[in-house]
Amino acid sequence: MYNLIKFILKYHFTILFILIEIVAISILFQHNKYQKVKFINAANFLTGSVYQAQSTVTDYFELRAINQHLATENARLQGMAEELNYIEVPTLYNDTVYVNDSLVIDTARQLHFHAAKVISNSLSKPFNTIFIDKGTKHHFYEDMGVINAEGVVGIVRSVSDNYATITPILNRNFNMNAKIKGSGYFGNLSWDGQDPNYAQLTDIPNHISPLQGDTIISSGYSQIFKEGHIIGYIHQVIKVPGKSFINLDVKLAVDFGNLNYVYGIENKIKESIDSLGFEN
Amino acid sequence: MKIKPKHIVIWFVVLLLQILVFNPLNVSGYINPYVYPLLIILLPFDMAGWLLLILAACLGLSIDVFTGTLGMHLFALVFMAGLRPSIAKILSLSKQEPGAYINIKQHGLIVSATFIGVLLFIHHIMYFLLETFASSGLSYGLLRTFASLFFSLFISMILLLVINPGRNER
Repeated sequence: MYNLIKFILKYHFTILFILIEIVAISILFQHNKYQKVKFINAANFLTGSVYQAQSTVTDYFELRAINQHLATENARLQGMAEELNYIEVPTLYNDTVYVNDSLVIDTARQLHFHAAKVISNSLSKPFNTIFIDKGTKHHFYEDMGVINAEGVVGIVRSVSDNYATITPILNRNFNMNAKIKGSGYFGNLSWDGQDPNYAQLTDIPNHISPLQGDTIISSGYSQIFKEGHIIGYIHQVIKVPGKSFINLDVKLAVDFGNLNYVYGIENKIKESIDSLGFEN
Repeated sequence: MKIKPKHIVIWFVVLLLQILVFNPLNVSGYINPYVYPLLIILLPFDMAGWLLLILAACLGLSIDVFTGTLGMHLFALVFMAGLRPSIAKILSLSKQEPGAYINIKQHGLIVSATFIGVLLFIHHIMYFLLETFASSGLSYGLLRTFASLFFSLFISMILLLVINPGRNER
């Protein structure tokens, strides 16, 4: 303790100098949005270009896996296209048309998918971050939902012109509403920072008894994700003694260890809904 | 050095000059003279370091409040104040009688101008780096730095002559 005080007394000028400068910079960033954006831009540019350089090399080693992945996804999309054809045919020739959801057309128009390549990813930290090679120039924006072919990946945290960072499910700051497919019950999905294969769905009322393997999907209560994006499958039901809630261990649908391409969901009407929220 | 009414008057006059005259002045889009760092430069050499930094912080912040650039002048001025003892040492100005400060009569025009010029340069380069922050290119930032620095130094030297006209009156 005495040594500490001696140290502070000896270097009080330098310490005070650094302290005031840190305060100055934080005031600067807080009050001058331009400098803040520039700083984030510069930081993202630096990290982005380093990761991209690394990625251009390592990509070649993964070409086989990526090909496989793209083929699978292609097949899935092909299947969806077939289904759409199947629905459209009767609408042309029959008098009676069954419409399950009148919003389908509007939904299709309001959503745009933008592909981006993952240039850096981590699994092992409590606050993992994904870097992608697309930014504002490619219609990515903050709080944008990000998925891949398998399911929900995360939410865009910050964007610069050419790069963006994503808060994946595997980040202790991540939080979203999710529900059990086929039942209306929803809970709060987060990650406990332990196993990168499993997330936790909490606050499900205990009078329902979900089964292992049931699908967990996005609830659609926020505009970030529409209803029905697959998040994962129930792995384990955990009853909390003395509480009227149960928690679920969810095996994540997305394999975060093998993430190559992701899609940002541009929601055309999100802005107008957000502005409504502010007005009220 | 005792604080005389004269010092407080100088402090406020320079501050008002900066806020009311030099801040709105914008010659051909490049030149914004900043003379207020002179107030920190003119403080005695033997002043305690922490007091120097605190005074610089207060002065920088008050300029910031008036220009609406919170943090920029604060950062630049404290940066300059932090380097002042080292610059004084390099120019062998640090070993002086108690209460001595930079003046033309005692140190000569060249040394005074060098001391003030170097410190103003440090302040200006930090300020313009933060202000343009790589947005308009380094060359534009440097052009603004040097154009403004020339004027700042010129005005500062005139002010120094006015404040301390060479008569030994301390």
